[in-house]
Order: sequence, then structure tokens, then C-alpha cells
Amino acid sequence: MSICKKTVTETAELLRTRKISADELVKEYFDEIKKKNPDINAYVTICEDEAIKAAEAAQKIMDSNNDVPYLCGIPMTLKDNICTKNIKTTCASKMLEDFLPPYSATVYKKLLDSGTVLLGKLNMDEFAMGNSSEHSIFGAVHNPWNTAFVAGGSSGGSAASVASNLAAFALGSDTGGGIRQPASFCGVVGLKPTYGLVSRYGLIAFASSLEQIGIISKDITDCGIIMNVITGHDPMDSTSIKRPAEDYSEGLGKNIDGIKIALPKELFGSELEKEVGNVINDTLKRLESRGAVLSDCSLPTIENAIHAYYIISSSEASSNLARYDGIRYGHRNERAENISDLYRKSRTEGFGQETKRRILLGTYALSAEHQDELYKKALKVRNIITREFRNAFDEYDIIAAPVSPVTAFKLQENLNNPLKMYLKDVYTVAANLAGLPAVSIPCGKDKKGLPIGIQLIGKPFSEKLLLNVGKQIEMEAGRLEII
Amino acid sequence: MTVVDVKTVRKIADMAAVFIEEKDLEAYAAQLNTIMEHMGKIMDLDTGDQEPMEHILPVKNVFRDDEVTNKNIKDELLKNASVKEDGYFKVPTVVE
Repeated sequence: MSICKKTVTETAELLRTRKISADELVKEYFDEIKKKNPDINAYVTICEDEAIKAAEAAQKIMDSNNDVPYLCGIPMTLKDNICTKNIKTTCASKMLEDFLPPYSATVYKKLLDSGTVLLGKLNMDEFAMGNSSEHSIFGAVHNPWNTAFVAGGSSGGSAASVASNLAAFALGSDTGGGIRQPASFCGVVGLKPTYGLVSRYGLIAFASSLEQIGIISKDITDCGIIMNVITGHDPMDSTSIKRPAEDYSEGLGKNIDGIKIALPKELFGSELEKEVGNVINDTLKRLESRGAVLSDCSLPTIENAIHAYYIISSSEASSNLARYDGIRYGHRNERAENISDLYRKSRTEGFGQETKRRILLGTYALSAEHQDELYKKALKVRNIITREFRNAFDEYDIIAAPVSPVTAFKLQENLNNPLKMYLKDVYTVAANLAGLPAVSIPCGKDKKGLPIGIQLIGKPFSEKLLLNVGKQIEMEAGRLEII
Repeated sequence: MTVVDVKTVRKIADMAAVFIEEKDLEAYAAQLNTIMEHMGKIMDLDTGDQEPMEHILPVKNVFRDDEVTNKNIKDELLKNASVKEDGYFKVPTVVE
């Protein structure tokens, strides 16, 4: 078995017992990347020289020190909207094609401090707007299970890299499902933590009140181990929460007797493909046989979550992306005659079609005639949805649902129908509106051989419980591995 | 019901400081109209006296002591500007 197929836990053991050195390990990964990336298109930047140096340094630490961080020497990778000092961070946009961040994101610093080695940066939908990773100046990410299909998005490169063993784990970002849906499409674990638990400092902003950095990993245990490193209060992020540290990897797989799991009927609606629904139901039955108590429930307003999400996220995007003026950084039109022309031409050339569409949607929603109507209405709906979740969590421990109504769709299939594409986010966006933690766990495949994921949503800061129940699903379904 | 037409797209594009070419205006209007018609369904929902929720956390200003915590990184920041001169960002003439 290729060493790149191993989990973080297995790889850490090999490093600790000197079965392989950190520099040999990264070289194995780069061989794999060179072999597979041309077909998958997960990486947009490869940091080979830097990674080999970092791996040699990690090996020295392991050789000379007894107190070595657990992740020392583990090869990882980051979505290209997470700032890495002096390493290109493009957001898969012409706007930031040459952007070299003058600082690093807090999560990246934390990962470096724990000895991990950055292999490169990952493809995505431009500015994280999309769910297929097709809206990228670098071309679409291909699903490693079948390259005619999308990898999902917007963290498509993150999911595809982990699924095809081009990194031991990856970080992505989730604004409306951007980690969970590609994880589901690619058969890996994807966790969106509670809003505020992981610092967003250095994450290039799309919709600040919704997005969180999270993890894509090969299994649940790895996810817990990485959570231990990336969580924690950060004075550089004013929405970062102060709370005592937890050990997310401890106690995984323990008894789930009596854990109450609710199934909202609105998240098992008519849009859910039968095959996906069957696999999800089968998985839930297996959780029941392990002691979980299943109940039907209703979150009546969640059907409007998709409307509220697109209005709020596009509004925040139009405001956040106003910073791109072509002057201090980002693409600049060279022929502009005056300042206003410079803004317009630089933005017109720098943003792709989907990004422009979202900016226009947001500008429309926030314009004087509509602000009271649309944006405020969406915020009221957000409040109601959050309250409905809170009420449900008074009674239940976890809400379970599909991640997506479908498995991965064909490349190009939905590109010309943005609304159809947006509606595929129907099961994931509510967790972002309410700031709740949610995890996607692989639980089976459809007839085409494409992975299916189940989603567990929890109350704020219940990641440990989510991972524990997720572990039970993993023990039943096993890891999905590409042969 | 048409909510977004060509005229609206022209106006919001202007507000958002992007150009949409004449030949693309119809297509943008049609797509945005389909999207807004769907998302606009939210207006049918009775939200009663519910307060708008901008943010999931009780957001407060976060203050720190007024101490210098970083060094001058002017040159590093200028590195990403494509046009600069004498240590400044350069822009077309703003005031004649």
C-alpha cells in the first residue's frame, strides 16, 4: 500500500518509529502529486522546494527532541483562500493571480508551529463562490472517483486532494456547505466547526458572518487531531471565541446509547435522490442498532434557508469584494484614464462571471429600493431558523440529514443554470446561517460508484459529540478508498 | 413578474463598479431575474415581529491596548501593487 494512502494517525506512527523520514515522506507525496494532479487538478501551486526543506527541518526536530508535536512532519495542504506568507494565494481568481500575502493566516501559523509540512495550495471556486469547483481560472477540479464528474465545492481541491491521497489532510472553508459537500462528493470526512471556534484571520473574505475554516480528512480520528491544533481564541479575529480547550480526538468510538438523533422531514424532501436517501436511511438504521434513538422532527422554516442564504451571502460578498480596486493589490487595468475607470476596468477583468453575478445579486439586495425588503427579511428568517434549531436541540442531541440531494454531477452539467446549481445547497446552508457545527461522513456509494455522505449537525461547540457519532458511522461503513 | 431587467442590471453594475458588455446584459438580466424570483419567495413568509439577525454571535467591538505590535512593512505591502513610485501606490490623477 502506498504510504500516501495512510491516515495522519498511521503516518505519524511511521514517522515516530523511524519507518520513514519526513523528507522521504514528502518526496513520496510529490511523486503522487506529479502522477495524479494533471487529471484531478486539485493543486494550483506546488511548494516542492519549500516542503522538502520544511520536512528536513521537521526530521531534525524529531531526531533531536523528545517532546515532538504529534503532527510533526505530516504533509498537508490548504485551500487557496487561506493566506500563506510569501506563497501565492489566488482565490482561483485572475484578481489575485499574483497575490503574495504579506502575512499568514492564523490556522497556517498553528499548523506550522505543530510541525506540519505545506505541500501546496488548492483549487476552488473563485472566491469560494460555487459548489462544483468549476469557477476557477485554473480550470475545474475533477472528482478522483470518476474524472468526468465534479469534485464539489467550493473546497473541491481540498476534498479531491485528500481523496486521491495527494495530502494527509487539507483545510478548506465552508460558507454554505463548501467543506461538507465536496467531502461528500469525494468520499472523505469534512467538518465545519462552530462559528467562532477557528480563527478566520487570513481567510480571504466572501461572507464573513457565515464562513468558517474547517477540515477535510481521511477519517474521523484525524479530524479530531487536527481540530486540537487549529481551534482556539485569536485576538486577530474579533469573532473568535474564548473558551477552554478540548481534546477532540479523545474518546472517539465510545458508546452512543440513548443519543437522540432528529430527522427533520424538510431535509428529506422530494428533491432528494432515491439512491442517496436509501443509503442515508440505511446508515441511520445502523446507528439505531448501536443505541441511538431516532425521531422525526420538523424545522418548518428551514425550507427558506436557501433563500435567506443566497440573499445574505451575496450581500456580504458585494460588500467584502468592494475592496478590490486594482490599486494596492490585485489585478490592475493598465489603460484606465481616470480613477473611476481604473476601478471599473480592473474589477471587470479581474472577476469571473460567477463572482460578478454574486456581486450584482448582493448589490441588488442592498440597494436603497430593496434593502428593507430583501436583506432585512433574510435576516429575520435567519433569526427564526436559528431559534428553530435551538428549540430542536432542547429535545435532541443531533440533527441528521443528507449533505446533498445528489451525488457528484457531471462537469459542465449545471454551469449554465446558476439557480439549479444554487438549489443543490439546500441541506447545508442552514448550519451556516445558525453558526452550528456540522460534519459530513462517507457512508456509501451510488450505482455509478460515486460517494454519498451523511450530515450530522449539532449544537454550538458539540464537535466532540458529532465526531463520536461520526466515528460510529465510520466503523459501520468503513473508509471509502479509491482502488 | 420581472424584477430584474436590463435597465436594473445596468444600474446595479454601475453601483458595483463593474462593466457588463451590452451584448451580455440580456443574459445577466434573465439569470438574475430567475434567481431573484426564486429567492424572493422569502417575502411570502410571515416573520411577524422577529428581529433581523445580522450575526450569530453577540458582536461587540474588541479593543486592545494602544501599543505598537507590528513593524513597518511598507515595502512588503507595496510588493503587491502593480504600479508604484517612490514608495507610494500610484493612481491616475484624482484632482485636476
